[in-house]
Amino acid sequence: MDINELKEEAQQALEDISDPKYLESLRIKYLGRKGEVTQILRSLSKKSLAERKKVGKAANQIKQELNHLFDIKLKELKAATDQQINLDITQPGARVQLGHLHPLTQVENQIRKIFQDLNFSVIEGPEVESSYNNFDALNIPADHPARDMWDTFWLKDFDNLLLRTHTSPMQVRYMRENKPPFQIIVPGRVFRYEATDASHEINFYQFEGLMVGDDVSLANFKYVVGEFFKKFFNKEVKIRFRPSYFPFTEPSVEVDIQIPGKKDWLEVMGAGLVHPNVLKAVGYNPKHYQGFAFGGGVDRLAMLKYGIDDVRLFYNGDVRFIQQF
Amino acid sequence: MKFSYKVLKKLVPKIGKPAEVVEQLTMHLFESEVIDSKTLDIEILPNRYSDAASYWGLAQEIQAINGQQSGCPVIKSPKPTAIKSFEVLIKEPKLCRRMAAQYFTDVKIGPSPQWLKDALEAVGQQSINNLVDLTNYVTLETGQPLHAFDFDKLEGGVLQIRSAKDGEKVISLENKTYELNTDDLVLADAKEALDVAGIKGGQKAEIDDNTKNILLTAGNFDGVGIYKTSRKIGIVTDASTRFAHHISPELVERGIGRASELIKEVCEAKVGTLVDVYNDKHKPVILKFDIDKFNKLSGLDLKEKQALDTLKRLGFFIEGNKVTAPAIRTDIEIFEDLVEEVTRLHGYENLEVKAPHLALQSSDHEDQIQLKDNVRSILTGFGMDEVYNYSFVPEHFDEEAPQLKNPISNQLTSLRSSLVFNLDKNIQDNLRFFNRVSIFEIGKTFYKKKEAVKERLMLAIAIGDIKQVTFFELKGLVGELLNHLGLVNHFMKEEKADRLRIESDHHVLGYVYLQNKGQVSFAEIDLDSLLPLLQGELSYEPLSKYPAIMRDISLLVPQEIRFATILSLIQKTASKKLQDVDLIDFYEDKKFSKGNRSLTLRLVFLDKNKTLTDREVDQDMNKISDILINELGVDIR
Repeated sequence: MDINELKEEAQQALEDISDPKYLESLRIKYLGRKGEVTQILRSLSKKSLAERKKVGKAANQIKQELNHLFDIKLKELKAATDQQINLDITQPGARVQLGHLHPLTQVENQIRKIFQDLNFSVIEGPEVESSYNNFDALNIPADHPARDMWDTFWLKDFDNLLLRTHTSPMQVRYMRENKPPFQIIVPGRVFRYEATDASHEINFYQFEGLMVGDDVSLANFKYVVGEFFKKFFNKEVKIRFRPSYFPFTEPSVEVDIQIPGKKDWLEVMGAGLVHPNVLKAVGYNPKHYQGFAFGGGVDRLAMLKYGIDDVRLFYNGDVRFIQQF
Repeated sequence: MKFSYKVLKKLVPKIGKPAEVVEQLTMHLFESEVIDSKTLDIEILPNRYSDAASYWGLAQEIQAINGQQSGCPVIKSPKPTAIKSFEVLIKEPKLCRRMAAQYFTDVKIGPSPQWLKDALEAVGQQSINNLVDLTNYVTLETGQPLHAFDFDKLEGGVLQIRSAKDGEKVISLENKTYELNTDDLVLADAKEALDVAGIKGGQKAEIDDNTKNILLTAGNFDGVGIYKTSRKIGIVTDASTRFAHHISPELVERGIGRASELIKEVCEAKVGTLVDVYNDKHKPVILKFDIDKFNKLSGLDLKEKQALDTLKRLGFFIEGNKVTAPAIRTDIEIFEDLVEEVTRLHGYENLEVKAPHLALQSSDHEDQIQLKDNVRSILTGFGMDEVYNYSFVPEHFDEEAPQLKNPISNQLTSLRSSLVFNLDKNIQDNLRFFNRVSIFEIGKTFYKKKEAVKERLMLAIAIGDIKQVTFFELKGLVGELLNHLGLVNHFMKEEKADRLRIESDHHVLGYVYLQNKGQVSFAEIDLDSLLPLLQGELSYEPLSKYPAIMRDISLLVPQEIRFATILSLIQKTASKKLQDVDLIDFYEDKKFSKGNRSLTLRLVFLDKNKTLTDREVDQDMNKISDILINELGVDIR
């Protein structure tokens, strides 16, 4: 066969191939050790020098071209098989899971973030407190029925130690060590000695806020608390103050919110202007400084936000609950 | 506290409908609600029992809220006509500031008139007889607790207010016996105690159907004393609640005056001698009203006259800018109290929001908080869920832990000294629903140190699986967590067969340990100790220009040889070119003799200055194989 015919035949055969396993046999057929092109090249030894030169050059060129064509075809076929997919991609994805932060962590994080954006610094404090910091320095004298507002766990063998009943003792601790102006937020665990039910727990979380300066007013608090709830619920939440009584604030107010679309006012915070007796107890001159303090329940806000109806779910370690957040 | 709407309406004819009244009270005074058309429930704030836990007090507030001036109703105390000689003796003037006692004769005990029955029924009180009902009713009207004795049952013509004797008993009207001691106060005749002062009446001089002559008493007792006794004997009454909240001795006049007026009228009694012993007289509280200071505190912008008019409506006496509080307003002590009065009456809804002025200064948070945040984000990244548990554990968990004086249950008697007790319980509980549970908790733990209770911020991690060993996963995870938190040097040392100690820079940071053959494993890390060891910033190390060479080596290792021993031997033997040793495969097979294990290690070699040759690595590998075979009796497979 003429070497050019051979080339055309090989080219044609290559075109028709669609399966890579035939490609290899085809390559052997033409370019293998006993292949047809190889045969032609071998047969040259019997030819004259001139013919050898002429045919040999052509045959070598064809061999190279064919080799090149085979390579290209191989790549094409390979690419085609790669795209041939034998997977049912409608099957569910693998279970790759991030863990879940406790809902109270998430709510506390959000509270911290909002107040940090409002330029409040975040600090924390001890859970075991002296009765002085928890009560006396906050203008709550011993044997005063006002102490009944905070049912208290006391420690055995330590006369004046208790589990803090609120985050307010951090007002005392912070003010003793720092000079105004400042604004802080203190999240943390607090304790109450009381029977548990869907809305009461023996430990829960509060966040305390304190802002003191030369002229920090109740109207300033109304601004801050309004900004906070607007951002927390991401809605135009209505706010109202009601008269209240806390020994460590004067005036004292209760903060209620009304979420758009809801009828009820919800009690969410206690607040007021820091009582002069508290300022005196930490060594401030009440003539020079004034400010507001407030305290809210992290659990309560989390319950409102997520529609949780039983506070005890937060503390039983049930992963089925945690994984919903 | 319950109040009759009808009685209030009589005092304030222009009063709104019940729903309007509770709205006004809630926004300007006390949280209130309508029980039914007859009854309002008004939550008296603890500092307002003296003046506002009464119809008269509430009437004044309601009128002031509505912009009306009001005064206390005028009492037309009848002139005493029946003269009787008796003595009132206050032996504990510190515990009893005032005692008034009035004699009445020809008292006709009988059923109460309808208006009186209605008024009491509206607040849930049962009618007993006209005299007892009147004392209860006048208490509600004026806020002054009253008590009437049968005068003829008193011995010695004397009413004493004295400390109880040790073991002295008072038998109540309900036939309950209360044993008292010298800390408690009683009213007594010449011979014995008549009642527990300010808390509970006794049988001794009880009013009965045959009572003709009475001694009506109105006292003022020390709040702390009443509070303590009331807690001790375990009874809280309307009177004890009022006294415990430090009511004013000035109420005595109102109480006894109003009662005598009504007893004369309703019980057709003759009014007799009044003895009023008042030791420590009330001193008027006079405050200077500074309108600028008021506006600065409240953020309002009121004129002085507006503010003073508001106080006037509440019964304050105004002279220039000097303000005298009504005598019964025990809650008014300082200027800030006036700020509250004016602001709440003006209405908090009229307080405009004002953004505070702040110096520009970036907000901050404590390092500890940042650390907790980082731990949480890393661990949730590992797919772990965060749980919260009680701070309490049973005593048997750790007898050294601080304990509660008043635990809420016998399972929650101590403060937790470790988070693991509860986490273990969580694992068991959750494995009922899952094949694998990975959880963590961050929280305070407690321990006693000398004379104090100390706190430690702890992190505990637990992984439980119903089948597989979780220990190595947890061990690896803890290492990676510490790396990511920025702890440069740390290692884990075998402390016990089931427990590794995590150390860094000579500090023990915590433990990783296992339970149940490693299917449940725990790690506990002391975040307080970890915090100061963390490096704030990572530093860059140039990437190597030369390739690393990896060699795998499979060892058949006798059971007693620990991995840690093999590793340290390899590290000691190899040249500096050895960068890393990894365990890439591990299995045990019954075919192996006496519990041998097969370990496949991958050793990574690198020279930062040149390309390593196979020959150089072979030298190291040969040295390593030789020493493992010779020193540890390991087979190379």
